[in-house]
Amino acid sequence: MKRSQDEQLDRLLSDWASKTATGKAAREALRKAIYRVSDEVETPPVVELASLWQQRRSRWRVVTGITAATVAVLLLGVGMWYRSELDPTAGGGRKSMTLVDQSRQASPPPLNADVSADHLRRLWQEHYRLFGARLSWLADRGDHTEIGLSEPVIQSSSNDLVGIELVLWSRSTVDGKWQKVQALRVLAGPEHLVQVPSDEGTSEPLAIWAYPLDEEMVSIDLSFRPNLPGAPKFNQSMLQRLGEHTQIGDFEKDGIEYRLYQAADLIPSGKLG
Amino acid sequence: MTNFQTTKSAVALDELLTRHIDAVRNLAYRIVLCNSTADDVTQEVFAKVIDHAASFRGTAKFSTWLYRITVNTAKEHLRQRRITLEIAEHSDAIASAEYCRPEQRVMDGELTERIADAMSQLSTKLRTAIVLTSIEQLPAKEAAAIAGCSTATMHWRVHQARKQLKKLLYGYLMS
Repeated sequence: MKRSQDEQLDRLLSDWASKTATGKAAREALRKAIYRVSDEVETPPVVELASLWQQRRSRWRVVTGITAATVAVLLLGVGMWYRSELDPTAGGGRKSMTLVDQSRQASPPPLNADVSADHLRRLWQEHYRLFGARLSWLADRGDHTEIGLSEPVIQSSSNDLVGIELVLWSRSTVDGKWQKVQALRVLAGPEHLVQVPSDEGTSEPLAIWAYPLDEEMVSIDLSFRPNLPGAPKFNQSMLQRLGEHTQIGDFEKDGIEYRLYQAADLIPSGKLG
Repeated sequence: MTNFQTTKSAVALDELLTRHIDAVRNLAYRIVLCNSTADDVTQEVFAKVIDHAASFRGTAKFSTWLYRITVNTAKEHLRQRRITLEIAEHSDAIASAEYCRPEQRVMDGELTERIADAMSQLSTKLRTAIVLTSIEQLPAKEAAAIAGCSTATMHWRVHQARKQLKKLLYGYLMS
């Protein structure tokens, strides 16, 4: 059944691709446009130097204009983003709050944003002694550890590990306090696909893929179903700021509110010893 | 490509375009899902190819190099479009940068639009993965080289993309 659906999907996509392929008119128009912007093409000897200079100048005018517009848009975008970061009500990422009155907490307590806990680092070092460069990832569930092995990875110039913490909180309807239900910490090389087998009661593995970016950000793809009967599955592809915790989903079950939080950090390769 | 690197002649450029313009334009459209943006991406890709022809060392397949430029350029255009849309929303102005809805082409009909809508709901990474493997029919390893990720990651992205598309196109797969 699954195979048949895969084949049907492939056929649909293939048909769609054929029907939306470039037409002759569009192709010819594109050709002309590309020739116009190309000033690398060898010109016939009869073309005067003055007209060559005009062609080059007009192209630079276009390029400069596009570049200036792009920079303006980017600056404006950065300004808007910065404003939203200063003003929590302007939208963007959630900021959790810890109220003084613990009897009714609006949000769970902040996660330990330093995901690279000492014990997690030690676990990595111990397993690395056993498995060397084959060690691809490590997952700490608190009561046990899982590891993933792969073919030895050619060391890139950046060997930083990405640490990710997922915590599922629940809030009691009685006292309104948040309690940790499930916690998982993962340590992996960049772009190493982490697939943690499920606990008993669920049938799907947790999958995480992370890639460090500039400016203290990391790209995370996540597929996770909490270890609760009837819990929804979270499929996320998002940018996570290092050192911050972010609510990535919530649900309600039997009158209890649940929230899933995520935090990420980087461990520089030097700290692994 | 070698001919173009050496001579930079109009004839060589013409041959380069003849061989690759359709592939680039089609790949661009399948990622950005907008004809006008796909045209912009295609022009920019060939401008880059012309400007950086000397940097292609021939150690990898030319098509892989070209596809990689196309994918990165398409992603950059999508990113710019998202910034422009957010600015338009914040300023409460009429969006001068219109969201380019997936356009119907040769075959009008519910199915074509439905597939384009479904593709537009995938993230750029997942859409790129399914386009490179299922539509362009590239092996996962080559698709991974183009997308700049590991082969395992490419397999996972394709798996996720298929799952989402099957949900979105459920009615058409059952019939």
